[in-house]
Amino acid sequence: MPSENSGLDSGDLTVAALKALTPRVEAFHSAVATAVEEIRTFVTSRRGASEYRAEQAIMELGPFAVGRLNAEKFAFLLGSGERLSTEAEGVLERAEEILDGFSMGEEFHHVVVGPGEDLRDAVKDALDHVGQVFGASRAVELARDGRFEPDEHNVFLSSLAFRKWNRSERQLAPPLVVEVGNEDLLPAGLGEFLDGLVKIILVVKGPTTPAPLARLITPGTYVVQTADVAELSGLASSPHPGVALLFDEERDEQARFVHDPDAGATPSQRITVTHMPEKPSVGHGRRTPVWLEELEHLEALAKKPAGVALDVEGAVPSAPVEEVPADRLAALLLAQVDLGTPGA
Amino acid sequence: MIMPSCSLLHLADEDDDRVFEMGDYEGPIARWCSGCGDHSVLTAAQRLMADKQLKPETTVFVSGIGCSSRFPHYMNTYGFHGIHGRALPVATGVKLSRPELDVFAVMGDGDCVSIGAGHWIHATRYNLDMVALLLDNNIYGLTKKQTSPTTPRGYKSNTQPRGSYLLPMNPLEATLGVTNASFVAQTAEWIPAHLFATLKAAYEHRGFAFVRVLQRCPHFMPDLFTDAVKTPDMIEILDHPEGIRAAGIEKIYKNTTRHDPADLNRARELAEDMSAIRLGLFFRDESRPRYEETRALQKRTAREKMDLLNEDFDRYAV
Amino acid sequence: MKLETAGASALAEKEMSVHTVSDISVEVVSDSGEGAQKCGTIFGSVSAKMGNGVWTVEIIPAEVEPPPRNPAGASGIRIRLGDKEVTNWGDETNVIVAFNEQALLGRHDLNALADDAVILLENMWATHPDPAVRKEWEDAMERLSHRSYRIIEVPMEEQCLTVVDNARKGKNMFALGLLTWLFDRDLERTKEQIAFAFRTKKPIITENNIKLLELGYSWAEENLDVRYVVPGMEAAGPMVVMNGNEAIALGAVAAGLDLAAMYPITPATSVSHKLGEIFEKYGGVLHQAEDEIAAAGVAIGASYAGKCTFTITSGPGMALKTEFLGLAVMTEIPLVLVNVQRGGPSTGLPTKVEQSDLLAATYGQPGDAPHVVMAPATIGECFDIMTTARRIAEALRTVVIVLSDANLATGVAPFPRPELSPEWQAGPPDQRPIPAGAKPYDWDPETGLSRRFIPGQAGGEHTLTGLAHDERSKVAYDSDTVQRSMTMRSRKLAVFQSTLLPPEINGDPEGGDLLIVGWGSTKGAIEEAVGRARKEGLSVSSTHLTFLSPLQPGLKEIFGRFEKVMTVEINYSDIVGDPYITPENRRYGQLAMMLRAQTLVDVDCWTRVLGEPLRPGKILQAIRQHMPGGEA
Ligand SMILES: Cc1ncc(C[n+]2csc(CCOP(=O)(O)OP(=O)(O)O)c2C)c(N)n1
Ligand code: SF4
Ligand SMILES: [Mg+2]
Repeated sequence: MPSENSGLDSGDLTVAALKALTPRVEAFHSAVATAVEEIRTFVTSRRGASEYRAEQAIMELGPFAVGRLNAEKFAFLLGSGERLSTEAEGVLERAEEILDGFSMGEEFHHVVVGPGEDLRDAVKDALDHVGQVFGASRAVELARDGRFEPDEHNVFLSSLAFRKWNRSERQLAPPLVVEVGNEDLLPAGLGEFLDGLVKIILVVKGPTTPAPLARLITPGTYVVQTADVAELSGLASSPHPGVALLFDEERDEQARFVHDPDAGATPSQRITVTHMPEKPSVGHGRRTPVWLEELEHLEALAKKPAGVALDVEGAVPSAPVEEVPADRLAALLLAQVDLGTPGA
Repeated sequence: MIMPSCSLLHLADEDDDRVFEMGDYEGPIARWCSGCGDHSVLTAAQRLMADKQLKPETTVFVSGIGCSSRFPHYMNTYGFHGIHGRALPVATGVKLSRPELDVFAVMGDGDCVSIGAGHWIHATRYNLDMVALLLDNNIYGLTKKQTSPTTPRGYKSNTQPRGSYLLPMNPLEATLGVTNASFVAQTAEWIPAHLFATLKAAYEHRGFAFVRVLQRCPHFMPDLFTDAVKTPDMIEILDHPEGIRAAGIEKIYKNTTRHDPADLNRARELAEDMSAIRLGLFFRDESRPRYEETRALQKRTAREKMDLLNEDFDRYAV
Repeated sequence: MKLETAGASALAEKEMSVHTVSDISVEVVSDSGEGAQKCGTIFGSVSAKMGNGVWTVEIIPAEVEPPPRNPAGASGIRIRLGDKEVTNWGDETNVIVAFNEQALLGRHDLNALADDAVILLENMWATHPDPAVRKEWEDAMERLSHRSYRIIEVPMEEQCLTVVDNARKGKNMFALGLLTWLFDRDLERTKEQIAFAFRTKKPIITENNIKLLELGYSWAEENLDVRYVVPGMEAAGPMVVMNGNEAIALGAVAAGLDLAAMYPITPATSVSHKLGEIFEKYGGVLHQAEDEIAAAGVAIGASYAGKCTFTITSGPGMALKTEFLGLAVMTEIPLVLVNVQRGGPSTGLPTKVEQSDLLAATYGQPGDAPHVVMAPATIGECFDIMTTARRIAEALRTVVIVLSDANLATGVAPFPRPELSPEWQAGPPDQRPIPAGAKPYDWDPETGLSRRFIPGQAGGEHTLTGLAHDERSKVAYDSDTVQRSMTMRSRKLAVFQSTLLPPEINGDPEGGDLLIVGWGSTKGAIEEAVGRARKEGLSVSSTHLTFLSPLQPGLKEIFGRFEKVMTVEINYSDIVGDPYITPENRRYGQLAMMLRAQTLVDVDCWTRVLGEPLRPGKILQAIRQHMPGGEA
């Protein structure tokens, strides 16, 4: 299939990849923004003298209350009670600053791995950096309840390593788009980050080995290799962690496939291969063993058990059933690239 | 998928290393009659929670009024013991505003099939992601033996002492007839393995999972299911790899029928035919639209809202 | 304002008379679909821009598509203009433009027109080819001649056909031209307003409409001999114009209410129409439930799970929600219920105003269910009240019922543009863990207040229940707990009442002969009537109650300053002297009943259910009659 993507440079690809992750980016931004707002409300309602609280009470009640309610009394009897220590207020302000910096923008969702740098380390650093958000929220919780001990808890106001994120925090993990050179594409180390709802898209230019992500396939991980950004939507919406490899163009020697944990019970049901590179005939010896190994791994996973009928009465043989999604995908891809008449 | 509807603040304080045992979900000792079928549903729900490691604080059991509706009191989770017949609207409100919570609605047959019938039909159509349990003892228990819509014809009660006049209503058939039904199953509380497997499938279903639990009420309906309990062959298990399979019951419950839960027409036929007590998954379709997703919206901050509101006011400016 | 009457004669020689008036009411009526409302809306907007006080109300026939040329089918709009703020729909109409004599007759039959009304009437029907139509015209003229109206025939159809092919689609702009000249409105502004009103249509429409406007204007200039000047005021600041239901919808947004659950019912529905249009962009969900009970349930479920929510309805719908209201009070879940009242009982008068739900709102829930009832009095207050109601509901953990009515719902008037504040918005639900040992109803014995636990708060797990319960939310029937918990739920209201201020007095705070007490949408009409009565030298004042439950403090003391106290309300009360009605068995107006019970003052009432807002003139008459030692 001639690709119109071939002209894209990695910058365009990055933008497109970020776009595909918009829902996740928005979920993250809005959770952070809400947190900021919550802190602000909390701080304003808990500090200051009683006149200030009366003023706050009347502000919250709105203009209708003016002349109808005694704001001071209302604040005293029905307003929020607890007062905030200056120390706690300082922590909250610091945390608010940190969070505010993460409530919009896309910089921290975007990582560039320099030539010769380690992909895993770059991803780790990026996640640790964003981890400040979770650190800051923990600091807020502690400060609000008067449990913040500077010696012990100040660390929360700097970065928070990914391995320290809890389950809910991982569910909220910000997605990452990582630009990496084909030489440095060694994704095996990313496995440890594929947890919660972490989504990583690797954007790579030029030829690579055929199936670099094959070894990241586990039953609960969404894995996709593609040259078509449209295929990334499944990654964003999947309720599983996931990683994608986005090629700058379709090459024969690069496999294109999707592994969707929700698509079936066995690996072969979960994997849809749209393109499988030819294996070289034995003995040519020009390809590295990695090449063969990852391709064989992918093939083994995607292979349908021969001759086993589906566990359904009178069921049709499995192959045609499984072809349907592939056909649909092909149709979708055709529609996306707007080729005009097929074969033209 | 868990999408926080509010702030990330509370995520922080959570003790993530907690491992929950069944006992962690137990509330005070349940005060149903001994032998009441509600006890085993309660146990199955606690087992489900432990199995799925659901957090007590993000799980809400909503009920109406009736013996069965006491259910939330005996769980150590959030609970809402509301008013007769109205569990589903309340559950709808909870799920709509906080989609990240796990919501269960527990209803009696009077609750769901009689006074709350309108809500039952519409909740099925909304298809919010929750589990709805109909604990069907074919009688009004709490108010002491009045005829319910599911009471067998001719059964004598305090309101119809010469036997009930009407044909009983068939809740499965009715639910399967509602547009957008996405999960309909039946189980019996006296087969714990099947009950648990059914609750699990219902919880895992993405959408409104309606489960009718056949429930014994030894106090007011002592004979209702005695034959069925004693004679496993009266029970027909719906079997299918896509359906509900309870390990270990096949030795006792040998009477099975193969039924593909994707087949709605057959599901309706099986539900309508009352010649056997059928347990299992009648129908499931996860592709049906879910209300909380259809209505999912981007949350706005106070400032954003005020900016937007100013724009709306511009349209009314003199 | 007395206007001379020239009958239906054509104008021979023109002698201009120009009246400067401080207050005048204008109507445009037609068959439905002829655009009278559009004409009136534009006229009203231009007048507001020119600094006049304006109050417009649509005249809506009972049927969706009534037969043409039918008195019951009169459709149109009524605009009251003033040189000051206009707070109510006023008295009889002074100037009316009618597209046919039957619609006019409909207004005449309802006593809507002043004796000296000036009528601009389409005259094509007088010479209509159908003899039946001509006969109807003659009969109508005969009936109208019994009043001293001044009828001016206008060849609207004939004139419009010089510009458009179908005059039915253009007469309203011609009529706008007549009014623009008659009231000396700024022609350019009117053109701008037309362009704005038709901005989504093809440009040719605007062009033609402007031609028709000019045509009407010049026809009036050539043929009419009377003109009115209503001086404008300096605008104090930016103003907005809308009806009360739109104000409630925007108010709900301002208050940070994120979920509205409702079931359609007139006259509340247009709140949901507005929300349906705008709510989603704010992240708000408008849930149309399967019935009112479910709507209340969804709102309560959502409130329970986090932010306070609200439900909108009218009387019959509120009746269906009563059991749920009791539950919300019992379980202390905040909830705002807006009831846009209509005429009752039963289906009653769906589109007409009444204030007959006060007692049902306050006492209508079986069992003892103390909660807050409050009422906006103006369209601007419909906006403001939502924020206050929500905040009170949350602070008290209880139900707040807001009583609006069809008068506010359909009246359109300008009010100062609110200065929005993010502080009005509710914060996100508290998700902090609950400290060990805290209880879900940890009532402060002094105040009855307690902190609400919200799902998601670790350590706060409990089951709330509508059964009698103790501090830990455990079902408890023991005498001590029942008495204590009821006391706590009631005490909150007393605490709240202690934060309220006494109502202000309009007139003489020192006291006098008569004090009129009102609530809700009647404020403008009452204060206008009191103002006129005071000019007549009567010693009368008024006060208007915002909080109906609990009642504002100081009432008994205020009442003591006046010789007589009387409520004015739009609900039913017996009239002493009617067959079988005695002072002992008399049924009082609803607020009067509450005030009598609460203050032990012998509060009288003057209430009417006329299917329309109270006119200030009628209230004035009632004041004259009910002055102590007066006629009554
Ligand atoms: C509005 C209302 N109507 C009636 C009742 C009385 N009531 C309480 S429970 C119940 C029926 C209970 O039967 P069911 O729902 O089958 O539950 P079970 O007790 O059998 O579990 C009735 C009629 C009530 N509480 N509220
Ligand atoms: S009356 Fe029946 S349903 Fe109720 S608790 Fe007893 S056995 Fe159970
Ligand atoms: Mg029952």
